[in-house]
Amino acid sequence: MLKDRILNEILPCVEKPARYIGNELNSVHKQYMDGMVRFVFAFPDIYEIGMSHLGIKILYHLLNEREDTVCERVFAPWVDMEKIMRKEGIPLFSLESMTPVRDFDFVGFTLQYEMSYTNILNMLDLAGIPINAAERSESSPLVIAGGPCAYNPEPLAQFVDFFVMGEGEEVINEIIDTYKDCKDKGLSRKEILHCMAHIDGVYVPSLYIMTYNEDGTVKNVKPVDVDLPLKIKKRVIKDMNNSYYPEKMIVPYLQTVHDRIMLEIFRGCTRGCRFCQAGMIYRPVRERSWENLLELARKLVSSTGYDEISLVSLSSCDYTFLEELIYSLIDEFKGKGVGISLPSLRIDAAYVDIFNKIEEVRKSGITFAPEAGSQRLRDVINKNVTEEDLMNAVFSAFKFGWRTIKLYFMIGLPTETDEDLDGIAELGERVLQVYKEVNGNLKGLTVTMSASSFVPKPHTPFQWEAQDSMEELYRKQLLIKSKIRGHALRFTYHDVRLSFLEAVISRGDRRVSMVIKKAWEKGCRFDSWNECFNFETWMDAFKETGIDPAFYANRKREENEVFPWDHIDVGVTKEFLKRERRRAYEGKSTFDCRKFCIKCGIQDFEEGLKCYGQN
Amino acid sequence: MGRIRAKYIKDKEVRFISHLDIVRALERAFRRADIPFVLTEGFNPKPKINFSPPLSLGYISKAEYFDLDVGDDMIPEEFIYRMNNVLPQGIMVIKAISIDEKSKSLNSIIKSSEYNVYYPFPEGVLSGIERFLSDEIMVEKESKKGKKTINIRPLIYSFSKVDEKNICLWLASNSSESVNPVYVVKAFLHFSGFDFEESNAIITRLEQYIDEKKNTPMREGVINEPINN
Repeated sequence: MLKDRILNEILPCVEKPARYIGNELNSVHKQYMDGMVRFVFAFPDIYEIGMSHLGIKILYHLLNEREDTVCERVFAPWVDMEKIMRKEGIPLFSLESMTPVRDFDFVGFTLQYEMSYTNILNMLDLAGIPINAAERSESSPLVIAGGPCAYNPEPLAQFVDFFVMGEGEEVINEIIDTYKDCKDKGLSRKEILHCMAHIDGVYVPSLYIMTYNEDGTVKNVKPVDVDLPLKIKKRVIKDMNNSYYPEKMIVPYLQTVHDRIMLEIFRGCTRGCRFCQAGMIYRPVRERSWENLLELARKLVSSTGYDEISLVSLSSCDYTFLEELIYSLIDEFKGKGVGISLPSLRIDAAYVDIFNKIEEVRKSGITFAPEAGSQRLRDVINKNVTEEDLMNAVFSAFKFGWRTIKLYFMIGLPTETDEDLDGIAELGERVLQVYKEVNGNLKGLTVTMSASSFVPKPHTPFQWEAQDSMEELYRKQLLIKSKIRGHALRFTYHDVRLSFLEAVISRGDRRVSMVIKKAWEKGCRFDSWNECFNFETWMDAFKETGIDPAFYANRKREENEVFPWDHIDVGVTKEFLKRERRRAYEGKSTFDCRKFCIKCGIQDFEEGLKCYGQN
Repeated sequence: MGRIRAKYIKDKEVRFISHLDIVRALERAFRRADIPFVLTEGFNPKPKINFSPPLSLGYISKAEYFDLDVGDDMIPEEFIYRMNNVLPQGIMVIKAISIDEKSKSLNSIIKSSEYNVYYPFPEGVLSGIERFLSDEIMVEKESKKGKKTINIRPLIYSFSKVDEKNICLWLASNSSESVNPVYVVKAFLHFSGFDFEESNAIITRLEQYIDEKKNTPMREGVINEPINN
């Protein structure tokens, strides 16, 4: 038995065996019976990362509510486990029943970040499933993928049988039903894929042909059959209050990155930061009612026993009934040692006040994201906060007794100059001044200023932009570093090489899949992990495949260039993105569309779809 | 205020869960079971709980203990019932008693542990137990200060054969002196001229005792008979 071998021979020899045993509280163990659909949800990173992901929690329980479906989980085995598995001939297996992944009907990957792509190939290989979709047989599982990075599916087009665009809860049942129907009719793999391609939101890359211009840009993407859609529209939940949300969540034994109840208070974001992909692709904003959330929180606390509830969304302080929600949660759970946390914080003194209420239960650091060092640049990226907002918020935080502040910045933004960068250090200095005003000295204060590098992303107003060269980004990091002084200020920054690769892959076309494959063949995996990342190998992979990474990362696109993701419709129109880009260059910010509609296109995307505040 | 002393088992896949992870799993279980536990002071309040010495990763146990401070009217039988309703597969509370809040901590009273070691012993090896125990047993132990060689013989209270594949060890496990069963089996096999393959061994803690007369920690409380399952 595979299970006995894993438990008795393999697991005693690996670091953190709990990553591979499953069996956690609220995990679902179903007896597989003939005719059932077997789905394995695959996360291309280790257990502790994957189990922090909200999507997996929702879809896992949703699928398992179907009597005709078994949904299990698999994560990327860490390097020590992979070594033993390869040596002992143990195929990649699911956590719940320790069944080989290749025996499932579906292997569903979630694409959360580009640097996890080599892990996908590695997991397929460990499972004994052919890497290339075209080489799979009738008995191979259907390898499918969804999640934010799927909105540019092309770099993975060669490896994935079909992509799911948009919100999984909305479409996954149709996919399972269609599959069962096809199986009943005895259809072949090819025929099944044809049927899938007719489900709204499903993209079967093998049924679309991508052609290129002489200069290397994309000419067009066309379906092979006339009856296939020219554009694949994302799927959207219309009413969050009536959409599925699990009342139970798996409680891992291992400490995961987000080891707490995740209460999703709304989807989408109205702020319209021009660099932010999430802010564009998850539109429109749809809130859950606070009464609904309170009820969910009660059920989740009693089914999990967690001591913390995190209010998650893209910008939780924007939630309309935030005070009602927080005060009722505190009332309900305070005596039980259950804390409330609010991940992303808007720069606004009024919200620091609310935050302080929360922190009566639990105290941690406070984070603000000004993103840029000058007002000019903040207007360019449409981050609608002023220095005054920031200082008021910081003042309030210090008044309430916080001593640890984190400030997030981005470097390499369009139109950025060295003066903008100087502004970062100056902001840090001003924060110190405010602390002195409040406390008289700098005792106990730590301000961590962190700079990530701008990566232009598809479906954003900055999708046309060039990324700064690595040398330039590196110069900018050192420039900021040289200006930051004093022991109370700390400066950290991201590896520019990772941001560079991310820029190549995120705006890649089908040719980029050759590089991903080559890099994997040469040993790359866990690229987002310091101890595993090997940049030289990636550069060799570019050379050997004859692909120029700068073409993807550092080239400014013509306004009318056809993009590899233009056949994917996220609801926000290209005209809106162009308009926002023009406004960026004019240094004009755009209102938060909670105030009034800025005509991004999502309102007309689908009948019955309502934006925030529209009744 | 009251205090509950509970005995629980750790079985099956759960043997791969570390002590720290078990602590968290139990804390969550208290909340699900609606146990009226007492919270610690400070910014990060936790249930007031005290554990018997941690079990090594990968071992099964039939006798782990914890003391939990609870509200006055928590009846031990109800505690067992409520906990077992919500505990994940592989962890089970098998006994609970009310103890005095002034009782000494588990860590300070537990002196020894009894283990079963399953291992595919080479034929005939187990007949050499007596000879192995008749002399000093020098073992290299790694500690924070580096490697040192110590005689573990005085820490072995008994070593007996159960059948061809199982032995029973009774070993010191108090806060100042303890020996892991792995060291004993390894030394024994080396003494007999064989290598020890740790991944082939299945180790089960059978009981923990508060003195050499084999009294279990439960004896201190209201219930005065030895706890067996």
